[in-house]
Amino acid sequence: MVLYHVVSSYHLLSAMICSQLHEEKSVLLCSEWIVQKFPQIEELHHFFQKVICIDSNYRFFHSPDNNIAYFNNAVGDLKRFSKIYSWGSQFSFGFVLNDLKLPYIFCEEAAGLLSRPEILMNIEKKDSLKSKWWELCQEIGAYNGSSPYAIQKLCNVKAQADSFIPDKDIINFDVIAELKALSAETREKILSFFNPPRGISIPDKSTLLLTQHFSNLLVMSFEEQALLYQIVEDYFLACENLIIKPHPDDLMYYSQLFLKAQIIRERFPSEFLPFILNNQPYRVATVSSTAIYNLRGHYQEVFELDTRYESDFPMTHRYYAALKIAQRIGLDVVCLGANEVLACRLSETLGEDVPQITTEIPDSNSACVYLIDNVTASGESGRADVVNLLHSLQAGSCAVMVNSQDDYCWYNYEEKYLWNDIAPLVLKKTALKSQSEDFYASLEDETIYIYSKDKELLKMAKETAINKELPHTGIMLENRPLDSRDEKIKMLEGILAATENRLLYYIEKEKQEK
Amino acid sequence: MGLIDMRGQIKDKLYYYFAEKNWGVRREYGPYVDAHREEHAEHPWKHRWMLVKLNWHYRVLRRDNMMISKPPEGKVTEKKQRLPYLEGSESSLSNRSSPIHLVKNRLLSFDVISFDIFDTLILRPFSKPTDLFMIVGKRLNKVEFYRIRTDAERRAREEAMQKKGTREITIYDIYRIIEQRTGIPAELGLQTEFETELDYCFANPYMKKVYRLLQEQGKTIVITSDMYLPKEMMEKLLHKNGFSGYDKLYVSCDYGCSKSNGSLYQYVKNDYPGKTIIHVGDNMNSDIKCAAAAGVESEHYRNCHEIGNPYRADGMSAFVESSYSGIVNTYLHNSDKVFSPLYEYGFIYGGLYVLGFCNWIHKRVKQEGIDKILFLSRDGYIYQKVFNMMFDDVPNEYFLWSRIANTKYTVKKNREDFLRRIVYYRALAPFKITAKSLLQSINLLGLIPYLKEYQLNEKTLLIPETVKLFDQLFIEHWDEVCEAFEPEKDYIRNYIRDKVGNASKVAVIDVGWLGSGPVGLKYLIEEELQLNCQVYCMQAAARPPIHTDIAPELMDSTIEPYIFSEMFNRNHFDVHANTNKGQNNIFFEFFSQATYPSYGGMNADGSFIFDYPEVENYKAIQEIQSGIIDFCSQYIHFFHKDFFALCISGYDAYCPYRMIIRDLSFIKKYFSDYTFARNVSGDTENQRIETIRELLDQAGV
Repeated sequence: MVLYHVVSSYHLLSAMICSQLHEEKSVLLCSEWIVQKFPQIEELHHFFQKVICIDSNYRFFHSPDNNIAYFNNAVGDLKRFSKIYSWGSQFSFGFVLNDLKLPYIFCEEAAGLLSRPEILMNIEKKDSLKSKWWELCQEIGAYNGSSPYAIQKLCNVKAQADSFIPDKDIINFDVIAELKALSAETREKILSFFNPPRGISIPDKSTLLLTQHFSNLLVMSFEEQALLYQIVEDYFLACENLIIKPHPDDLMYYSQLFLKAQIIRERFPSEFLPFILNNQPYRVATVSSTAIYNLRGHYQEVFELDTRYESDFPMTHRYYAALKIAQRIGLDVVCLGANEVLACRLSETLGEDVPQITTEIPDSNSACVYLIDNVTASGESGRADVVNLLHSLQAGSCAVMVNSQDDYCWYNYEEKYLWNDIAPLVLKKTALKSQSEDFYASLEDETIYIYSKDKELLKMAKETAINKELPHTGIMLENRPLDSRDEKIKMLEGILAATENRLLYYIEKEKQEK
Repeated sequence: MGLIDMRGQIKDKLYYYFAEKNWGVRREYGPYVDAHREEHAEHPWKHRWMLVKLNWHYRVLRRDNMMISKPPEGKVTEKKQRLPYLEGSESSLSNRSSPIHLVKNRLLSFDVISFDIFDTLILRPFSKPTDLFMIVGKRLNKVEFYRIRTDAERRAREEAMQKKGTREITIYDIYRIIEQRTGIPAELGLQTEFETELDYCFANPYMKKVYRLLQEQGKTIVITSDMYLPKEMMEKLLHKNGFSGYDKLYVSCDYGCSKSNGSLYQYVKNDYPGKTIIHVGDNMNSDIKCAAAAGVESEHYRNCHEIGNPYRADGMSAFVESSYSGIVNTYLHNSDKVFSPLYEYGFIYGGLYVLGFCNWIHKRVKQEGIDKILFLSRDGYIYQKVFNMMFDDVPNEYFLWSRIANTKYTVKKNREDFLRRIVYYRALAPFKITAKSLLQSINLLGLIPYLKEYQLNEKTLLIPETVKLFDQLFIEHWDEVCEAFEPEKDYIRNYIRDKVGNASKVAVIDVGWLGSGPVGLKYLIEEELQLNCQVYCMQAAARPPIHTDIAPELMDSTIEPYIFSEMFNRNHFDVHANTNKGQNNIFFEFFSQATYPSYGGMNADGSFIFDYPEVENYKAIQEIQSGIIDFCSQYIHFFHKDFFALCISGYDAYCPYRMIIRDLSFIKKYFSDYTFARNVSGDTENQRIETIRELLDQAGV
């Protein structure tokens, strides 16, 4: 007898497929949320001999012994199962397995997350309940299967990070591939349970956008989520045929934000998309939805950003401007602390002669544009690194400082003279029409700073024309031309802000030392 | 083959019936469990007993008051003075879930969602809906209209009860009576009232999101309201505020029955047989209890004014109290957003005064035919910003000035002021400065060679015992003191000329208190520079250290205060001067700081001198100013069509601040680390500044 423990729809789908790959009878241990989501739970008897519903949060309100007793009572003797598959090990059942020292097969939370445990961990840190438990979950290996009792790990190898090396304990499990391999009858039984819509037609050359429910997860506010997708559409997708499939828990009113988009509102695992669309989209896109990992390889083009973009998205205008500068002066870009994925994706939208993006510092003979941002996140040593870089900058190179943290990372009182070789580039944002209800963008000017010892290069860089209409965001982005007086004022404002910033840093430091 | 654990299903059903079905139990039990999670796990029977008690309280005894939670602070009693919310952000009291969570966790499972209109989907910027009638009366040019209108409604309802057995009426009924009693044509009256409603009703941003989220999910939406405006008018109102796509609109005056007697819900149920229906509304009786009695589920959206009114300033005039409270309550309490305490300090306690002050300045400027306004730094920063939000018809400049600059550059006329501020006040300050520091702070290092003559040296501390010696030094070298400032004064003169320009009349604006800044500039412009320009000195309030200091200037309006002086709004003056050990100036000035240092004058080469940057305060200042600007934006946005609404008296303007200083717990909690350079431009060697905590401790507050 095999036991499957599931918490989410994805887990349930995976367990249903797995049950068809084993001859042994099986028992499904599912969270109460599954029961709430699927009133048709009785249909699962086609797949499992028994379905047991449990309180997945039980452990967080009871002692370890009570937790064990609870599961013994619900499931019976866990040792009688020849195999235990555990999805959602960060819930109560994972603790039981650990406390009873039972061998089990650790199954990744979602495709690709085995090699990216920090994604789930960061979400749990913000959860009102799990924020008190995530450290213990981490200790028992609930996020990455590092528990000594996780004898094998089930994951989609193709969906893992580039650095992932599968070892002998890995069981490759690609939901879409497995679904394809099933008989049509069995596949249909699985689909019928989830009851997705069938025969959806989409226009040719469509982009299918898979959303994430960021505001529901408290990763960002409602307005920020709307703005993020407006920016993504304007900068990266800008396509005529946009299909949006919201995450099942994402209630955002996309049809009102993107009037021309087709919205697939029905809730079903995105893994079913290859089976229910009459014609397939040309491109699948997401910001950081893990749903894309399973879909890779099944579509012609895949567009994805990363979880860092969830906090970096307001800086898209600045990154765009920085890449336009690099394009204008014809140099490749080296990212120092900056969001490389964002830079790469933006670069791809620039048309011809796009700069190459890398994080490797070139040899001293190669000129490039250093794109610098967020270097003081892990401490003030980043500031020293930037100052040293600017000192030693090759002739013909320049540095563009995004300054997303307002930390003026190149500023040190002793090296104030660096400002002599810096020019600001101011980005002006104008509302395209009187602000509509779904206008979430800020209209405040943004400034990036360009450094180069080469005055001609500096002049060329700061005169880069930036002109981009962002219809869904509702703004026109342009660089604000500065005469020499305006430029001096802007520089002085920057120096003042940087000085105040440093002063505040020393005041806080002194307070802490006291 | 067993399937679902039936015990789980029964448990769910019991939980729903006892813990969720009743609005009152649901309101208290869930939050109680959330707040006592561990106790819930370890002592479940204690919580079950709580559930029994709650059911007894709400279902059997049919009480409305909360059983577990304490009533809100600040509840007005006859004897107890009203206090603001002192624990932190008042907006946290709303305790609402996000629109997404409300939809997902509560509304989505229903087939039909019914919304109440007023104070749910639609809000008005008044603490009471009937206060709109003051504006209607003004537009109809009819005094006493508020009373006439409310009276007419009462009469109409009584008539309807007698004739039809129901109190339901329409707006036509009301204006028929008004026409009879006043001669105002009914059509004109009701059109005016309806247009006023259209002008002032606005979509509740929170409910708008909920509404749109439900639309996106394809839910059936209906609207159910007890109102005398008929359906066509309500449709217009809803449409104007972006509420469209609803399935049906039920208005009590069209159906002859209401939610408050339960019958209107029957129409809804009849139109959607077999469908699950939930009604969302703010009124505990008509939206919640009566819905329940009619067998309709409900979700209580706590009324913004019920949350906020206990903390609103009292004692204001009728209209301003309503409009001010309406703006604050609807803005802070409509959603799940929690604003920072500092932002709220600006929004709730500072916005009305800055708005009123700017409007008053404009009025005075127009009355006197003043050509230009000079807003003195740093208080003038926020005044100028708000002024330019409101008006674009008066040229104005931001004028760098300060007490120190005034003292230095009017030194020929104001010797006593110089000696008092530069010597005496600094001797009393907690941080003692040296002679060198003192002279350096006012660019008088040239006097160092004379120190020996007065038994002083560079390191001598300026303390009460040495004041006389320092006084003597300055007095006996007065010509040198004046001469020392001359090079700077050349630049100052040019600066003043440049700022005044060709104006023949300028208004100089400052916060207060003695008026030395504006009066000093008046002297420079009119007497020293003789620019042929008349200077009007206007300030927020007048509170000199000693009553006699500026009495003649107040009497002949040389100094004009907006809020109070010894001569008008005397009770505000007394409160301000005599409570909190006279420290109220400081807290008041939190509203009008700026994120750069105080101006110290000019160097001999024309470069500007600034004091120490209080960078620790900048973030706080920005938050407070954001609050002030947002309040002003909101008020202007809503009331710009009715000019009188902007004419806020100085008396009313001060009331919110008067309330927050009744109890300094809020200020102590959020401003303790706020730095305060009392010894402005004093301690050049050590650059020490005090915090508000130290200041209050010294003052014994």
